[in-house]
Amino acid sequence: MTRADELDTIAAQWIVRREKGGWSSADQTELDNWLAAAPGNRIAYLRLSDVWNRAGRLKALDQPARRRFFAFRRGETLKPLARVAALFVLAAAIGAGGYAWFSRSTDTRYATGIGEREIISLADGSRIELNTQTVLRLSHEANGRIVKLESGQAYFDIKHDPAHPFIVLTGQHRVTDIGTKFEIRTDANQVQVTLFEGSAQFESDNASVTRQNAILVPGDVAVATAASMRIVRKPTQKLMAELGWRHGVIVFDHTTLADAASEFNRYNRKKLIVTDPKVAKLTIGGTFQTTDTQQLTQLARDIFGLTIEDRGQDVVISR
Amino acid sequence: MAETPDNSFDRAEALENSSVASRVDDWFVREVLPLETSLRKFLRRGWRNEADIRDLCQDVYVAVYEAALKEIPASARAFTFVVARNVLADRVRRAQIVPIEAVADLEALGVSVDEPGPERAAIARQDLRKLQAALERLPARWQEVVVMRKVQGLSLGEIVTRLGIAERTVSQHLTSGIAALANLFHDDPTDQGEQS
Repeated sequence: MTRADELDTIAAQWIVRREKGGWSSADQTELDNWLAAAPGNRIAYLRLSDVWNRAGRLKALDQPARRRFFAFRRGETLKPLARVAALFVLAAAIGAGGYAWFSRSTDTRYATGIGEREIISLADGSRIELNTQTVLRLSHEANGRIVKLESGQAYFDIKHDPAHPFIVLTGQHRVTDIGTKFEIRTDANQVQVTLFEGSAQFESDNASVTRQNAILVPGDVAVATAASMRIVRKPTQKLMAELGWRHGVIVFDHTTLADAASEFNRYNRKKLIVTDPKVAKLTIGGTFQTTDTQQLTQLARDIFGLTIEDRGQDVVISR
Repeated sequence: MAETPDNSFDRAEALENSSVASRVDDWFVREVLPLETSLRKFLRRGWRNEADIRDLCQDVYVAVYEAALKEIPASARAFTFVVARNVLADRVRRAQIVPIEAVADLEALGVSVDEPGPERAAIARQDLRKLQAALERLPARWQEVVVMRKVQGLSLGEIVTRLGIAERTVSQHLTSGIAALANLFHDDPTDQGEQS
């Protein structure tokens, strides 16, 4: 093994460790220290991450190409791979859903678990970043320019092509890019679209929504529920703070403890529970690692003098 | 006296510092890394021991990156190949041998320092083909987990469940797969092949 190979092994171990989920701020600090220790470390990490992120494009292999791909190696490897391929095709074939336009045989499903993130690089140079607990389907029809955000939150950096508009479907809503960077977040009962660059068209198929169609410009945040749709404008600084998750952080500014807890709970298996209404209304601020709930509980204990009870699978914050 | 465990000011400053480094990171990933296939070709013509090529490449990267921290060079391509020539010259001097190829001019090697080079224009088009070729050349056990993770989009936990092997083993295969994939991706198999 050469020096560079040894370095590659360590850098690759970091990438794997990051993808396992449960990434804490202690892990991040450890990684940061390693990266800062020598330029060589940083370069090895950048170099491997670059190819590893690009490898996301392998998902774009369509079905016939994928079969070819699975057939290239005979013997031992074919069996497990073919078995997995069969499972995958079967799962795709029996996957429920009433979207007739969305051909099950030609789409690819991307899913992130709690606390995970994933970057999808598309063949046309567009990028989609998935936040925690997100499910997105990419259709290989329409030049791969139609995706369906089934749940969660994603950031889209789309290379505009007037001939092939990029369309995101989510619930009963549709976002069509007009040269765009935007983010979509879906919650139980609403969809929020935030526009950062360019412009996009936001449409809602729901007849009860009064405002059905809007062109969004940078700074616009459209919030649609089953019954309504409104557009508000937010200052740039606040908008950028909302994208903190792309770097593994959440930014709170006069956020109630209840909202902060539910935001943390999107990223962590161990849930924060705030039941006392007075405690829930306390407000906090600051930048936190998404996976480090201890920062918040420490703040609650040290600043507000609250009681923190760790019950194993959850943590109760009370007076 | 309770101290604020989270100081947003320090964090803001840290984020800003990291954004300077991330500017260099972005430049490096965008402009320098795509040169690796050409760079390897260049190094191979000046240094015959295949086992040292990856190390030489890394030496070039470190020198380029450190220079960029001070000031980002106007032409990544020109700068990288000048650094590569210096790294080679230095290695040749230390080895106290003089392979004829090592003193060849950049021009003689067909490396034009001013043109943008084919890498960036072609990279989007070639990406998928190169990735697929790299994936096909991966050893079977590593390939399997890389396919599950990247082609099928399974999480590590799901891979462990499907394969029914220890998470540690899956992690090890994936680690090896990630490192090997980068080398194969940047390597041109027609360029006198890597030692296997």
